[in-house]
Amino acid sequence: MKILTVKKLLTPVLIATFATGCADLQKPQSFLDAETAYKTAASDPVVQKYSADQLEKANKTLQSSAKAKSKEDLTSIAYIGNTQIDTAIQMASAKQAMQNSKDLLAKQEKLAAAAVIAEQGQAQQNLLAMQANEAEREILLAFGQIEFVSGTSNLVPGAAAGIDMLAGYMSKFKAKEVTIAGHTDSSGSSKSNKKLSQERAESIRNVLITKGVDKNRITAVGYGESQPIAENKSSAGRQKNRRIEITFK
Amino acid sequence: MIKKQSTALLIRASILTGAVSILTACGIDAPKAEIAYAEASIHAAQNMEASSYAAAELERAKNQLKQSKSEVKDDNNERALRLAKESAATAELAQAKAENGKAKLAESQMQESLKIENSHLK
Repeated sequence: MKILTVKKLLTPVLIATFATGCADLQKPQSFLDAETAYKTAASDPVVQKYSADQLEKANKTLQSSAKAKSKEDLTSIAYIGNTQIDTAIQMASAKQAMQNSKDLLAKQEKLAAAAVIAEQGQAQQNLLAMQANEAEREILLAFGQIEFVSGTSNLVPGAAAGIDMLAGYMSKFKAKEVTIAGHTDSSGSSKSNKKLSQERAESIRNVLITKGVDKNRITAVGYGESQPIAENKSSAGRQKNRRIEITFK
Repeated sequence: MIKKQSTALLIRASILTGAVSILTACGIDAPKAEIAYAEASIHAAQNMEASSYAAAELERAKNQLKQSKSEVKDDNNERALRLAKESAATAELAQAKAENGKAKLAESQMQESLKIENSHLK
């Protein structure tokens, strides 16, 4: 009789035990939230790109709910799954930030390299400008000594050195242009002086052209006696006035 | 006779109770490995300066671990297992948050540096 009583008591317990293990447990709200969070994270391209493994871990955790035996199990699985999803999001964000830093570093290095090149370019330009100035001074000095056979546009022998220097300069500094201005003293008529000065300037221009200088970069002008730099009364003054002036631009 | 019946009753009850225990899985061992893993995860998070970047998560992971250990003492190993797993997950979140915080800081510093370099070039 007593045995029967115990059996009667224990039978429902056993049934309940089996029922708990097999019953289709109702998912708590936290679990449903975790499922929604998973779907949202899974559709995020950054998470997909950088933390697919962690997301899969969260997925497996949520799937393990099929083996849950109690509501507490489900709640715990929901918590762990949700936390793993948050972890996936944080990891993806971290990796994205690291990638951004790498990209910024590359950009910075590129900028630094461009700055160096710009500095080098500037330094080179400065050097070229200095070299040009130096060459121009030498050319002006040489042209100061230039002489023509009296009354003609023929250069005296040895006067070609300045013209060679000018040709070399024009070849090196391709952007430069030059104006060759011929001047005379006041001996003779002003008309013939103008003609002579023009011919002398032209003769230098022609020599430069034969040496390969582009004719469009050379202008020849004859001013005759119109722009004296000294008195024409003395022979020394007249010598100063008979000159070729070079202007660079 | 009554004594014999009582003994038989006790034996049957014990067998049934054992069966119930097995079926409800109440008799799992203490989750030592899970607790150890949670401890290691918390330690790793601390090394990653989680206290600066994920203080709340780090604190929660510690509390979950503490509760897990306490449940082991009370022989509530099922609960202890759940809490140990939760603690490890929380500690891993703290690690990720710390990593993210540091990465974002580095990115903003890099942006600032680039801005300065750009202004120097202008």
